[in-house]
Amino acid sequence: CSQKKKDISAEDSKATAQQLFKDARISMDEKNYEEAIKKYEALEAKYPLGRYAQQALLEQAYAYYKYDEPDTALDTIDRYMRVYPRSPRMDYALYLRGLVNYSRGGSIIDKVFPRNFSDLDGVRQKEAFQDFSTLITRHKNSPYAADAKKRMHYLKNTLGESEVNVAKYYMKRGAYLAAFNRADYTIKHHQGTPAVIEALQIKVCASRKLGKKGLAEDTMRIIKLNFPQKTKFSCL
Amino acid sequence: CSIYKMEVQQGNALNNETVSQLQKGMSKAEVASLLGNPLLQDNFRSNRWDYIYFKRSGNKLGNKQNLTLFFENDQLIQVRK
Amino acid sequence: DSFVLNDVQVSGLERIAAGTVLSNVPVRVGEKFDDRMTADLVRSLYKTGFFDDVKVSRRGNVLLVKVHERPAVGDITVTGNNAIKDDALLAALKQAGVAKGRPLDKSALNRIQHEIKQQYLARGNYGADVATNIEKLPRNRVAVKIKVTEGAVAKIKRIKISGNKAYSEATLTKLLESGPKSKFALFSSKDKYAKEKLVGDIDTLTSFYRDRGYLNFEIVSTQVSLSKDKSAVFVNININEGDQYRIGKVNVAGNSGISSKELSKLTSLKEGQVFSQTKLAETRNNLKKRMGEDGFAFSRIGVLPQVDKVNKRVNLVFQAEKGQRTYVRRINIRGNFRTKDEVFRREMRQLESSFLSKEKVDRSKVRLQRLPYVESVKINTSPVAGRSDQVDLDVIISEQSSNQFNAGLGYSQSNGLLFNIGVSQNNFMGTGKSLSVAGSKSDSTKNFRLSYNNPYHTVDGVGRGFNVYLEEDDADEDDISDYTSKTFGADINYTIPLTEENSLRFSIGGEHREIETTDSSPDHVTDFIAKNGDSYDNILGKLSYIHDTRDRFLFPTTGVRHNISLEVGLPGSDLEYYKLRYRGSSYFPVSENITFAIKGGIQTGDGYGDSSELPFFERFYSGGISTVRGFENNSLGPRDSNDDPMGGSFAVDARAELQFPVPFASDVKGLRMSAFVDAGNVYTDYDAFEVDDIRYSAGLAATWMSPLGPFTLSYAKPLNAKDGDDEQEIQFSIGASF
Repeated sequence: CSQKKKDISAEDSKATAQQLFKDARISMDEKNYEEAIKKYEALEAKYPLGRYAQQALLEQAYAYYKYDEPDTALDTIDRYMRVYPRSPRMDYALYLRGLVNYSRGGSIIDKVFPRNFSDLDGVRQKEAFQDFSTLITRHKNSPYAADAKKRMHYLKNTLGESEVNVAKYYMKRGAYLAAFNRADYTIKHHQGTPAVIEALQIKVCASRKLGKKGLAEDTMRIIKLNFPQKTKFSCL
Repeated sequence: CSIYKMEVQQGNALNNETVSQLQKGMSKAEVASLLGNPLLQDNFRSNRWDYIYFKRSGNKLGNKQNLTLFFENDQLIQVRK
Repeated sequence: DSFVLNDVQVSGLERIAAGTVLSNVPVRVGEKFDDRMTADLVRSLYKTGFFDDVKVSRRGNVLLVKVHERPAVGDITVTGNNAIKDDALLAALKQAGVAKGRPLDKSALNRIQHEIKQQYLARGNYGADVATNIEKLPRNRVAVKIKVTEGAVAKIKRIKISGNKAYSEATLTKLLESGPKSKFALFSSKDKYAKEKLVGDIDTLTSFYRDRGYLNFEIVSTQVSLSKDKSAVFVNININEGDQYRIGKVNVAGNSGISSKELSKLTSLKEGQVFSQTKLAETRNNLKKRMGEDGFAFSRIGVLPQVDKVNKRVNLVFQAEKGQRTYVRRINIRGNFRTKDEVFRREMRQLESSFLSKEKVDRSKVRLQRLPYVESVKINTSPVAGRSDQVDLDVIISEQSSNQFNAGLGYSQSNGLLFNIGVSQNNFMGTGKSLSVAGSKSDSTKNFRLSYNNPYHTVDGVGRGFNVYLEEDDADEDDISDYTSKTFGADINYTIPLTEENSLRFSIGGEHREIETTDSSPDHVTDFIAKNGDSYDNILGKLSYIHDTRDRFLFPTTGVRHNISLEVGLPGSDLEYYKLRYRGSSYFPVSENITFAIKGGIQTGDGYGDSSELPFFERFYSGGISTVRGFENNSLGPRDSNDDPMGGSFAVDARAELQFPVPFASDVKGLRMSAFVDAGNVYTDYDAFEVDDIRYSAGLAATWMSPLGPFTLSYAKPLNAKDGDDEQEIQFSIGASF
């Protein structure tokens, strides 16, 4: 019964909380994220009560993401997950967390000159991959699962591509052992991505440069077996 | 004056004295503590350890070393220089 | 005992969702719940930090959890502080978890209160006191009020040193940072007492003596006494010098693999010399570096001094332990959100599957810091599981956007519609290549410049770039002699590294230029046109040698940069001339974030072959923000027949700067201020050089690396302006390369 009385007195403050929440949504729609963030923060400080505060925190994270403040967005999402562990919108929180790391570093120029995101900070991309996979395992039927799967596939390929690009650099540099090991790592950790073919070819070239004929022939045999049409290639 | 090339050093440095202490039957752990872990990793063949060393400063390729060890159920069976 | 749980009822919740409490209950409804679990439940609920009271009880098979939520912090106010700014205090509070909207953690508040007091004591405010009180606010929130009384800063009235025989107290106190302030040192805070400053002074004293042979010098005691009103501090330090020792035999023992012949090359300790601790440390570093080259990154060098008290000699034995050779397995580049991995990796001198060499890692760090799009670099090593002789390197980089973008639109009666646009990127699309496109147009001037450079045309860092430009400018516009010149040209350039620090840069290009004179053009222009005609096709060659050991591109703190360049209108061009220039700068760290820099340049040029003089449009100028601040742009030096500056073929300029972070805004990234003295002038030619014609100025400048490019603002007072000089105290520049 004490809960009831609390609601009534909260009624008038909820109204103003609702009002603040609406104002913030208007700023969000107007893409005025700085304003929106200020209003959500004010709402959380003034009315740390119930549903509006919870929703505000998540909206605030989205605003930080749009306002290109990835670190603050991540902190806000992590705080949301800690304070509301059973929230029904956990799938969205995970999806947003993955999105922040996924599109990190992109800038307006990329809208003008689109570019692929391989060779960028691998750890962030792995973190995004992790968040998306937690999303699709824990919330199979979430509306965000489909898109998360698509992004995971893309991430898998870019991670593989980044790894094999490092092998290519070390070949250019003449550090053939480093190239060999990077290629070996690609094959071991990035199964099923197009990078594996290039990695096998690099292993052959590196083995030859290292004077290891036997290793080169063995790897050549693996290429013939798995990728028969890829046996002709030139070493750098 | 030639174009500066940075020094490229790759692989495990071995000295003949420690290599001579290798005996057949040694376990991988014993070999590793004697020569160090081989830097070359090939996840297709775990029973073959390749120790490679070379150092190139400028255009001079110096003291290339090459040693291959073969194991059978964790015992050293062959050493190929 | 235990019972089957069929419901959990939570009461006392206001702000926190029931789910948060339920998720801490270790068992589900329908499972066994026993008393031992109650303690864990209570502890985990407290750990969430949301509650300051938790009661768990049982009614039949229903678990009753009664909680009282900690009040949320509605408001925080700090009063009475000015030495430490509000936002620094609020940031510290937030760090400790005390912030608006967060539950109030009383223990964190007390810790912060104590910390703030400590910070004031460290600054010398011995009378400081910090009080906090908490006021209730509606809806279970509280207002936190922190009241600071700073009190007076204790000033050092006297510092006394006793027990010194070899050196007078005067020479010793001069070394110290703390001490009574001399009358006319207005800004110095020498007399402000601070504990760490005194600790620093004691170290200075010790190393002063240790470097002069006093092997067993020691500080017997230091007393710091405070006047009753805590405003005056009296310090006395008594020392025991001990005897002065000279160096005896020096040799190396252990399996270092370093021969004694090689040791003599590495050591700066020579027999018979007075013992010096710095030289000892230097020798140890040389030995350590030498072993690092063989891959022993974690070698240990001990020093065994054998003291011969009788004839005051000390023999030094360096005990060298190789330790285990360490290899680098993988290098992870982190933090590159805009730049491709290879652009940073190619700067690394340390390779994978190779010896770990501290020297190569340090060198890599410097090379990365010298990229214009890098702000800071940290390199950590982490061991590889199961392989004691291997480590991974994490290269953590924070990028700095280094693109410059400027656009402008304007209208002036004389020039009609003016517009300019310029985009320049040092890290175009994250490839490390630089591309800049700039264009501007008005009635009288038209400029277009496209320049591209790829610093890694080859994997070893041979750079290649080109420029294409079209310039139509009215010299009168820049307040120099009256003529207009139309030029278009292009060049291709290569940069060749000779060593880690030296490189050669040469470019070759063609240029066509036409000059238009008006009836008010000055004599030296019309005479030149009369002799050489008004349109010229030149082949321009430029060769420069660069030596660069600076530690960073943005605000270097140490190192030097010398650039000697020879630019020539090659034989076969219409105008044969040469320009020989030297530009140098050197940086000295004064303190952790204060740097002293000296920069300067000498430029001379002349005609050769059938040209007898440096063409007037290639002359040097002086005055303005990049040469002598406080004087109008290009206004110094000889004047032409219309009394406009005409430049000259010999110019010198130099400046000394003390660079420091901007007070009160030290957290703004890329913002630095400097107090400077400039000097320089331009002369018709080398023979006309007169020392007392050099103009001097002094002032303050601020440089901000804004996202749109470097922005510099300077205020300078000319010190020996002569009549006819055009002074300009406030000057600014956008996107100037420095």
